[in-house]
Amino acid sequence: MTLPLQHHPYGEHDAVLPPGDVTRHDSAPIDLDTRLHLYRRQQEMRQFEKRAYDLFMQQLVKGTSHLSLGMEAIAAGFGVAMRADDYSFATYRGHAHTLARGVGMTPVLAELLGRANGLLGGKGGSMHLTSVEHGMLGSYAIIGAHLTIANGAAWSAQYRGSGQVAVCFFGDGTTNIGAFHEALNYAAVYRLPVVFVCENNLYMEYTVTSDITAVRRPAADRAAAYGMTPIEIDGNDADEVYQTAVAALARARSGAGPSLVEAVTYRHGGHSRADPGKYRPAAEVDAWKAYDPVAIYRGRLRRLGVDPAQLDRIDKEVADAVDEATEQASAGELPPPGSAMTELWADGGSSWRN
Amino acid sequence: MTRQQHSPRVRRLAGEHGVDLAGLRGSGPAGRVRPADVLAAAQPATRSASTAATAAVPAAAVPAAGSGRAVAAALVEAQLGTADDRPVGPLAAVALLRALRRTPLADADGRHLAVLVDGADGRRGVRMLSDAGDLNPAAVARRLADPDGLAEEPADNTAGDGPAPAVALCDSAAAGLLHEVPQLPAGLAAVVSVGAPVERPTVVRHDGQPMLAIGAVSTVGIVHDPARIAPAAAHALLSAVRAELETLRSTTNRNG
Amino acid sequence: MAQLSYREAVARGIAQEMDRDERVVLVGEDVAGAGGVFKTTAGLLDRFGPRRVVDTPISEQAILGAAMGAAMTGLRPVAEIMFSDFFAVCWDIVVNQIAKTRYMTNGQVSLPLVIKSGNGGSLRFGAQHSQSVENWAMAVPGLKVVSPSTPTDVIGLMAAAVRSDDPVLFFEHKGLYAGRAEVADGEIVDTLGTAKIRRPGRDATVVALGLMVSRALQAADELAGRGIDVEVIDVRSLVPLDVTTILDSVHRTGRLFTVEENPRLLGWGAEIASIAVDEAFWDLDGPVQRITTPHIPLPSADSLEDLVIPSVESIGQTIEKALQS
Repeated sequence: MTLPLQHHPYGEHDAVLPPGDVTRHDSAPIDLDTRLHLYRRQQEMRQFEKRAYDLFMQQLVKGTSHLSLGMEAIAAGFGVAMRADDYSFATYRGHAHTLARGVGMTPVLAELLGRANGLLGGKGGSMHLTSVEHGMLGSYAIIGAHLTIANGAAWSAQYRGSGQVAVCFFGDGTTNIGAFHEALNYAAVYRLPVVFVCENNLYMEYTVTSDITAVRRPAADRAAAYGMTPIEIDGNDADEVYQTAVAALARARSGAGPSLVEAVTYRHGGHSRADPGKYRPAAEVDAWKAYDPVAIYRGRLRRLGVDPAQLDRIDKEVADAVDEATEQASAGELPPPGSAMTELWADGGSSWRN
Repeated sequence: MTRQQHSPRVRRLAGEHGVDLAGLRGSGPAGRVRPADVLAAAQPATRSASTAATAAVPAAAVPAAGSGRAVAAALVEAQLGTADDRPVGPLAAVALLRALRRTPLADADGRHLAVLVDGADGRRGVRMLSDAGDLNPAAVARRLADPDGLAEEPADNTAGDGPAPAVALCDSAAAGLLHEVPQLPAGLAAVVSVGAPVERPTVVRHDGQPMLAIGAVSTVGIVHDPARIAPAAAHALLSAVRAELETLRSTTNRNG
Repeated sequence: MAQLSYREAVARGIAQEMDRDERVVLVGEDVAGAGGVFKTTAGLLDRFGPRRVVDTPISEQAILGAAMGAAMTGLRPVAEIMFSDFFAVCWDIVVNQIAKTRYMTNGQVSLPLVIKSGNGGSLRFGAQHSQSVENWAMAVPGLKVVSPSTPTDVIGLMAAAVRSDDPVLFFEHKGLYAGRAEVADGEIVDTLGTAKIRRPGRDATVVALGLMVSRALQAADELAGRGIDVEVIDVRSLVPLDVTTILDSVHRTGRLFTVEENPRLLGWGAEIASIAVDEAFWDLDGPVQRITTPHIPLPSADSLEDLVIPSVESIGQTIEKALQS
């Protein structure tokens, strides 16, 4: 029997370090407008998530929350590449993915605060953020389930011939659950227009993924089992993510079938608010915090000649937007008591009898 | 199961139709009372052949007692607990019937109920409720209110299947009187009258401790012909009626 | 009119709706080329083609997830779970995803899907292929649940289920597949949430579902010969539940029995008994009794299976004994 914690004490496994060169994609063929858009999106996600953290510490956000600080490049890169009518599916760590589709900050923050002006009227919470009108078909809290649901949206697009693509984001831990394997096989068999994106932040909740996964690359090393090409990318470089996204979306739209992308990244915080993250080697944490996607991107834009004042302006606009959202969300009414009994059925009610 | 258990449906029907379940014999297994039994018991009771023909006869005047007949009277107070709006007359009727069933007097054995009623011409008459022994107060009230429910007491003082009761009830409470001493109609040995309840401070006992409370009190009186009913017997009847009345008032539930 | 078997009625009901609405699609294991392992979807592939009638891998989670995703984005899928026992394999998709997503998104998402499944025992398939699990579904808020007992009801309730904008679990009874009955020609559309009085009666209300309906009716016939006249209600729909029809019957008869194929604890009849004792207490002339399979998995030997699932004899005996005590 092989037991990981017999081989190394908890939290003292071999560190995985980020790439060394931040300039690799400086000359990627991406126009400046798109790059500025990518920068703005990452700033929005970063500042929003920080505000969410602060409000949680003030106990205004209840329950638990799963923050994606440090993982912004993936959500931003795909969000900018997607068509407005494409579908996205995320996990419970979905704030950034919701903002990526253009959903306003106020309804998202208000939902975290459990207010009537929340995106879901206070009925779903942080883990279930959904905005059908933006194509954001939901955040899902059961590991792996939404991969099978993303297949359904892709099937529907294929059936209707609409050219829409479904993009499905999940973590490295998902690659070991049954639904992942069912969904990949299913997507490959029917050549569904779906892109599966594994955000590999190296840790499955409080356990290092390499200890409990049979292969080194949790997603990329499974791709061949389902007839797909292994794709592993730097998840902290928004340009690399963007280009990968563009290619995968084009492939799906052309009818060539699904893709599986493994984007390596790192969480700045713990799995959830309750987790102080003591199971990660200090050297590793420090190295990855230095390899910050937002900082990397800002540096790139500077090297490409963008005026820092322009970037500061973007930062300020985002800060103002976050403050505005905080004010409006905090001013939101509590959900009306009767709303607990609504919207179980399509008729808006919840009655099970006459 | 040592005691008759009545199903919820049976109890509901009994309440709705004013049927007293105590002593009602059932047609179900082991004598269980069935809903059909309750509905059958709710039909108006059969009358003897001799009274049936007179069921619709209006009240006839009965001559007042002749002068020279000495009468005696006595009264007691019945404690009725907290005041409520249930009429005390029907309660007293049931109390009288039960007292007479226990200790029959002057051929009145609690099977039929005689009541003094005021005729349209202002004269007092005696009417009879046959087979009233099993009725509960609500049923009595209903029968008393039903103009066809009372038969004239036959002149020969007999009912078809037994003697007409010589002890009648006078519902003074219905007239708003605290007490009255009615004339004793010819043929009757006694009249028990019940007066309207009034609220008064009273002493009640809780766990043996005396406490001041507000209670309703009703006067119950008897007027009797001492030649037919001795004072001791009359007083005993009065006490028994009071006791039954107080018991009824404290235990009868709202549907009873 | 035509003589139709229950299994043919399933195919006819689905075809009726697929004809009507291009958005209706059928997906499941062996449903297309083979016409279904129980032949409930025979002929549909030929009629509607492989784009609309789809054979899948053995992937219950993927099948139901796909149905959900498609229902979220404009299609009206009918997905099959071959044996209702297999719901256990994909129960997350049913109860955590399908049942809850409309509510959690405060109405943004609609899920007009149907999941059809072969339910129930009496065919000697053993404990993992014979269960009655409609009560599992009834217990989860957000799912509508029907189980027809006749070919006509199969067509009508399938139509109602497909046309409903809510997720409906459609429990076919495997033991009824071969049964035949006269079915009217033309379109048949029923209403979810309605029970039917199959046999009016005076002395007791007997509520049954699925295979238990015909057994209750046979028991009623035998009881009639002994002077006991019971009313048999085919409840048909567990969610929504037609409480009015049931309580109206109890008001008339005063006695209530349920006949349930599921194992004892928390079977669907327990909820009906609870409602009756709450809302029709003063109508009851005796205890409410549930006639159910005991609380055991189903044995495979035919003699044992027949012993434990309520039979015509056990139903009649229980009712007669209760009414005579």
